[in-house]
Amino acid sequence: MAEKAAVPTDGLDGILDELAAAAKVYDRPAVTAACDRLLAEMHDRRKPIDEKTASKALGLLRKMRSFDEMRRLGDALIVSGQDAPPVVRQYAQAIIESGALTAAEAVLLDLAGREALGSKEGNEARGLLGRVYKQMYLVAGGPTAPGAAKRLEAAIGAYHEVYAADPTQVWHGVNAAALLARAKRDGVTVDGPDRADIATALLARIEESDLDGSAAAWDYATAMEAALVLDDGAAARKWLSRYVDSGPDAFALAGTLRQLEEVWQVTADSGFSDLLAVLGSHMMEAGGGQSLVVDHLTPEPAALEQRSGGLEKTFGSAGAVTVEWWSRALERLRSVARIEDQVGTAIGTAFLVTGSDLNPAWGEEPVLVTNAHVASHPPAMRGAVEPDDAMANFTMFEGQEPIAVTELLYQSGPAELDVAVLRPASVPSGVKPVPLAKNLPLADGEQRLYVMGHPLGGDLKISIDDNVLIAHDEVKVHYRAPTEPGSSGSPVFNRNWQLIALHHAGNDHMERLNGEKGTYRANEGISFLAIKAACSAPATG
Amino acid sequence: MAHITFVHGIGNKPVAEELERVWKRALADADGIDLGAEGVTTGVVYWADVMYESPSAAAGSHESADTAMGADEPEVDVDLVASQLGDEEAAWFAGLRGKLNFDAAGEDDFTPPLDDIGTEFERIPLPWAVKRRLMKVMLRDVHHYLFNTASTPRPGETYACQEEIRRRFLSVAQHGAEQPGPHVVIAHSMGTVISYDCLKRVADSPAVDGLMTIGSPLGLDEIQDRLRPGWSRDDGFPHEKLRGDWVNVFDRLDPVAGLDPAIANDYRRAGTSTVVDVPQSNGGAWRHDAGRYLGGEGFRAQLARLLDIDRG
Repeated sequence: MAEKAAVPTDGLDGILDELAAAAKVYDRPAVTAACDRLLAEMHDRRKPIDEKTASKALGLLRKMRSFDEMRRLGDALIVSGQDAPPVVRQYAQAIIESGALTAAEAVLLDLAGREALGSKEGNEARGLLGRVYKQMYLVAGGPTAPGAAKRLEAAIGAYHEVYAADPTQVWHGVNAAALLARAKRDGVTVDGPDRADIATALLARIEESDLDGSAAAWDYATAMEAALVLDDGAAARKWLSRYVDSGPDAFALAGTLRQLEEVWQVTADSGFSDLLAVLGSHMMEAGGGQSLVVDHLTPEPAALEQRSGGLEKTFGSAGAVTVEWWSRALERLRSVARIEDQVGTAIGTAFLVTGSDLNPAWGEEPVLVTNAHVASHPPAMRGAVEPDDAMANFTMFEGQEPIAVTELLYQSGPAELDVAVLRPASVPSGVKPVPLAKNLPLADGEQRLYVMGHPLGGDLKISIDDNVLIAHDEVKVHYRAPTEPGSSGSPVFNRNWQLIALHHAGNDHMERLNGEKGTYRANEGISFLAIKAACSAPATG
Repeated sequence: MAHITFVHGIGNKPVAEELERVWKRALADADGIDLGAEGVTTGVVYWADVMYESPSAAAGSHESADTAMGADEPEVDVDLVASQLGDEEAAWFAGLRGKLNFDAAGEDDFTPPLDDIGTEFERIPLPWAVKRRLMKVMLRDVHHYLFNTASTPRPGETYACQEEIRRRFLSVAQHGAEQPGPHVVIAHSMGTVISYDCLKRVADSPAVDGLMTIGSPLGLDEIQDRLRPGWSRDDGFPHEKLRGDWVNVFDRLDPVAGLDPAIANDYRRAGTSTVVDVPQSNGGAWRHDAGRYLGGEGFRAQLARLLDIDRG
């Protein structure tokens, strides 16, 4: 369609640069500020901005998964008259991500009516409609929900319509085949094409493009699903290796992970849990955009080793991630506990280290480490729990009752090291304390850190949100902030899964270290080398 | 915190920063040793620009056979080099040329006898033509260093090879010596000749705490002969400047190191063998590749020991 009278982009370039810079480091407050400026600029101009600029802004927001901002901006763009198909399509994506499926359906039906089958945007709109119907089926609770078969059929129809008209549209094809497989598993009778025929044709096409070098990352994910349709686990693992080797970003990896969990119903206990582990570990390498909820990603390390026999040792031939590396991450997760009070209210996070690693007098048994502002005597801050009332809930151990604390071994107040060392009454069977790093990583801008904890007292998560080490001194370690606050007491690991710091704070105006002037947005942990030195020093009374 | 000084080997290389990044990544890959995460700082003795006009293209995750040999460079004309030498040099050059054996009509997929290489090693799939090209680079680079030959890589820029490369080694090693913690030199290929020469024969060289040589030609008699005075079989260990261990990692199918791989007997300390020779199977076609050496478990275990790094 003809573009509406658009204003030049000159005045918008600065705002887009600002948005791109903020998106690059996942700085959400700065992204919101840039969106505010963009909306104000649009309002002042009283004319729609051009399609290219609009699409670029939406694309930046999508890349960092800022769907609320994406929806807000998309809405304003369309109201202002900028309703070009790519803008409407990205707006619809944001609505889907926010869970407003009925609204997304209406927007996409309108778009599909405007854009012909076979056109780029027409195909995209139909594919997203398929996703809407698929989500409706899944959200409603599967095969027994009213209208379930109709929704599943609509989803398959939307995907297959595009694929049937153009077999090069492999993403649409594999979604149709995957949902046909799901229909069979759920006992839903669906009139539709043969899933094995689709999968076989897809694999033949992708193998060909792989040979001539034209295959893209997404093709390998498609081939993995096609292999699952054919129930060929070995081939699925092979294609997954190719996929992660081809360098998909965190957004793409998250999409594949979601498809495996939601459509294929792969769980930590199922035969393909190693596929989840591969995707999870590569998301940690890719970083950005979110935290990994680990409960459903984490089979027992031993089971993972056993199941991953079909995978290459390195989880993909060229990557730095190995089965051992991921297994080590799982081991660390098992040593992390949620600190609760006597009625189960979450206060913060704690983790186990070997007592003698901090003070020889504390023996070889594990001790719990958390912030003094989580547990201390007397409570160092409002909201902190008395050690006598603290319970350690090791959520990775199913059926494990919270464990009481018997002794406060050491504490240093929030203005100092903000640490409390507690002796637990017992620890879960087989748990291993986390090992301490001998040195802090280099502050060279390339070191990624991993923070494990229960943000806001919720699920156990690994923060993979661009946690790059910014700076450190003798006591403090600064790293870029994750999206979710409230990880007090979390262990901070280097890339080798050795403990380097105790997480304790984060804000937008953190004082810089090493005598540098000014502030920045950062998280702050206390160096474990400093904690160890303090714990092993003779008591001063 | 420990410090590592890398010394690269024969052939053209990407720019120093890229080369250093590639080596560190090769060392960290597949659950290896992530120096940055361990707080280990690094430096690189870069000398490719003494021989070559401009750096090679970025090498990707590992050095390949092509980058190691400077595939973008014309093949070394060894006859031309030989024709410009005096009698003594020419005799040395011919001797090493014979040892490197690239004039022989080799089979493209020659496999050493099993008795020679041990059963744990795979067959060598390196095409003879590729190997020959490499050996010519090796012969030229080693000669130019050991005989301090003049090199004019760019118009108006002439170096006495040994003097210039020694100067660079001393400068980078001095920086390493000033860092806290142990200082370990990791040298590959001709970098091992440079490192040994400096540590044993240059009085101004700073002392280091550990030396790791990988893919080294130091076992060859022709090279040892040119390291006199300083080198002798009974007292070849550079104890004057090396406070700790010397670990030598080799792959018997590495065309450079494989000619005489184990060196403990050639570099004794007061008559006693002290160099730790570590055989390693690098796998693949290009066994001389620095990235493959850095990715090997034999190498990594020894480096972790020298740096006191826990890998579990």
